[in-house]
Amino acid sequence: MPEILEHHSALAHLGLAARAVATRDAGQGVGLAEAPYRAAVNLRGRLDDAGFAAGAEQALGCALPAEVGAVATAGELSALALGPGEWLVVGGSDGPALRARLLAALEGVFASVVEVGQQYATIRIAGPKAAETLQKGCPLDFDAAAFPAGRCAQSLLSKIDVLVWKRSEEPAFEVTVRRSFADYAWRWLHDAAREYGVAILAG
Amino acid sequence: MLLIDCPHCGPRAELEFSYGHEAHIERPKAPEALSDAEWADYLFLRDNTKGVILERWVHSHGCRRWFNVARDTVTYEILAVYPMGAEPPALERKTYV
Ligand SMILES: [Zn+2]
Repeated sequence: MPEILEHHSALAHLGLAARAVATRDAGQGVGLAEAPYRAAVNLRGRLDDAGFAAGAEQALGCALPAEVGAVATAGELSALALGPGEWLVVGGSDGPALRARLLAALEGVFASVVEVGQQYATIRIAGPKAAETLQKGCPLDFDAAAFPAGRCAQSLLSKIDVLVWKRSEEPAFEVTVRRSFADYAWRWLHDAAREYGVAILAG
Repeated sequence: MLLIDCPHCGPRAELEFSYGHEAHIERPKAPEALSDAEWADYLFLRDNTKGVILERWVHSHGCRRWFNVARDTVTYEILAVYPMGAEPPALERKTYV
């Protein structure tokens, strides 16, 4: 089988796997890891269209969240509300299958289903200084009270567009950027975290 | 920096937004019937208000949606945020000399 080039890491040139350690030392405030490829579909439609809402719910296993910044999760799939009538559906490693599943459930419905997983790279940043590191280059408020678990937000991180997702109560964030900005985002985060001590972790 | 209350995302820093200039400027229904002066007025001439201006913003690095803002150009205070296509809300307008 030839290697699936589209799933090639956007940070392969940094040799992260060889530099990765198993866990962050107690003295290190930040752990950084490149998340593996994950399927993603940009989904657009009108929530007040009953056919769209029901079709999406059937495909995802949960209702689409209406409020921008909310995230709904069912099994391995999550729907992140990017804007009114726009979601990023992520999960699993089979983009074409995710797209096909949504297309089948939304047959005949006014909607847009576009597979976009390969244009993104995701970096996980975790640790007691993760929020402070992000805060250096992003105007969002990363305090747990303002950015609780289960929320996402789009903003700028040191001038590049980012989607930040706080998946759990842990002090950890997933930072998704355009693939071509992955190198810049990684180097910026690594540099910003250096004063706190930074560990490279396996994805 | 302005803190702009996006109707979809809540208060966000100005650098996430792009400016869309004065709102409620209607494209002429019959542009071919306009004189050069009328066309120039539509294209280029703006009120340059000292006081409350109605303007458009887009949350370009957030939800990417357009909306209208009423802002005082003297104090920079944002007095109202309202949807595209809606009439501006009634506002108390301070006057400046
Ligand atoms: Zn917004």
